[in-house]
Amino acid sequence: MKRIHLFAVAFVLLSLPYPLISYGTMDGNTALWWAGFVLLVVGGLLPPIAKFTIPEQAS
Amino acid sequence: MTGSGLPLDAIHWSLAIIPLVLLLVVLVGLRWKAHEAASVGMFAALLIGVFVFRSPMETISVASAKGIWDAVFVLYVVWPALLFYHVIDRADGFTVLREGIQRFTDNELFLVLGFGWVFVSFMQSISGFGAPIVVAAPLLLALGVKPVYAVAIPLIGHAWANTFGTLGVAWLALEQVVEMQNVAMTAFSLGILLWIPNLLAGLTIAWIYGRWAAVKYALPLIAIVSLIQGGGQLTFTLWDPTMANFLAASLGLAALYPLSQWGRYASETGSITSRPAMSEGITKPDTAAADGGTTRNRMTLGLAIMPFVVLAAIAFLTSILTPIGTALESLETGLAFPAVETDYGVTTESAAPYDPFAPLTHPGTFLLGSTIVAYVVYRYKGYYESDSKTSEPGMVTALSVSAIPASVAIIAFLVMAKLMDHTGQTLVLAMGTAEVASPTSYGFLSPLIGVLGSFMTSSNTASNILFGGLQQETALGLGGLSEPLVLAGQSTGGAIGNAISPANVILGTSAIGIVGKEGDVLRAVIPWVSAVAATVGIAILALNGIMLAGGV
Repeated sequence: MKRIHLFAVAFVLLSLPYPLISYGTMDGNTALWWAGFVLLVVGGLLPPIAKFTIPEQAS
Repeated sequence: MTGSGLPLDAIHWSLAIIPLVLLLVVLVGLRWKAHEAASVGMFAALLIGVFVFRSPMETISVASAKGIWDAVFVLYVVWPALLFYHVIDRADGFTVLREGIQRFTDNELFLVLGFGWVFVSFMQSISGFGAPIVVAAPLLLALGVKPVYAVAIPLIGHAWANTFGTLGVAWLALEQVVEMQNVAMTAFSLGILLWIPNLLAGLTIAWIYGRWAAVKYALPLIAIVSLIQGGGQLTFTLWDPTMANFLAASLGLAALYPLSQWGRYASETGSITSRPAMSEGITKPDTAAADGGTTRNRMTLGLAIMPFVVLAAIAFLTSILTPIGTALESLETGLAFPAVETDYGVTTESAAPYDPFAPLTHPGTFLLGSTIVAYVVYRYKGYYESDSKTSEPGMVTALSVSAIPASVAIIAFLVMAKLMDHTGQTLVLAMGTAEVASPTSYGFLSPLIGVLGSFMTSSNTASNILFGGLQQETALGLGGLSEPLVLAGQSTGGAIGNAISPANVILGTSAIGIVGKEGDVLRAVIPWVSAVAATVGIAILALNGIMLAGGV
């Protein structure tokens, strides 16, 4: 996998929590906003992971 | 936001600053790329928010989601701006632009100052959100400025125009959040303090270009332009602060033509031998062997300038014609969030919706509109049929490769900022500084708080909203400090802090394809911001003595 593909996945994962957390917290749906939070954490972890696992030239 | 139960001690202050320090260490010290470094700051703010500032997970989640939404405002400039760049570049517009401008003058330093200081300030006067950086950086690159400096120069050059630029949006925000004792005096004080970054920007850009020989050579030009821009803005604040920057920046831009006809700057100078900012000399217009001898369908200078004129016209019309702006602003969108709090009593009110986004009056739409016009005209004229760029990746691929990593970084930066805000870390940093300060040291430090606000939020407006009230309360509480001057210090700090805000830096590096060089750009700009903040602090102390003696 190229770095840019991983960043694209991170971009999507970092964007999705916005509606999930808004609807989850406004409607009292704890599972929904927790899901949003987990996506944010995973999305945030991908760029540093890419730095140490995917060689620069692969991007 | 309130937070009366926050612990104001050295330990909490030191822990609250860790996300910012870590970010600077990995970004500037270790030279990680922005999209790799941003997560480090984000997770540091998250963990400190939970374990030190006792924030429930719902508060953390709401803050994170709001940070994602804040990023939309910046990303809607990044993507259209990159498209704007590629549409012009693929049609060879920047080459034509560079060659055309040289017909007025081939004086490199004049052109670097013209684009990196005067033009970028004009763009800031009508359009914000970093759009001036993404427009000016490619132009400087086309002139032969080294990539890192092509980003650093407009960051420095546009800073002074932030508070009263974009028709005074940051000034209006300050006026809205603070009940000023003397509005006219605050605006005038701001005009004085903002003249400092204006003048120092011109001098610094000349120094970057060719060290002291260039400063000496460009001094008359810098003095005249600064008198028009900084002095003009100061004068116009007496009439209408919201128009002050636009009028002064427009006059500055208009002055370039007569200045280019001045014998001193009409042609290249031989007095500057060392040009560390330049990667190459400017290609002379007549030596048009750039096409390898093939016949190419080259556009005219008018067509090369056209996208910039369309951009400026759209931004100007929607700003000036209130009925149009009001109608366009009526379309807005955003999601709601509940009130949240921390165990220390830091509460954030509910928002329904939170910070609604009005796309039709956003600079991203102006950029998109001018990009579409440029693409249609260039396509119709056949400028994309040239064979010189066929070996390069497609426009969409090129756009994605730059914009996706930049977008990841911008989201993570703004999530970090919102986490620090909602968990009380930002408040502890500002209140802790105010707590230990004396009137003299606080007067000196007040611009630094403004810098902190815009560094974190990439916005002079947001910095003023975040810290305007605190600065006023502290000035009044300490006594012996002029409230207008401290508020002016806050907003001036907010203006110059924009030059080092990671989001703005990423906008520039993305625009010219040097994503990952953000640390190098910051290394070039941070010393300038530090020096200007210190100079503004000293000016505040000097003016404070004068104003208090005069009973203002």
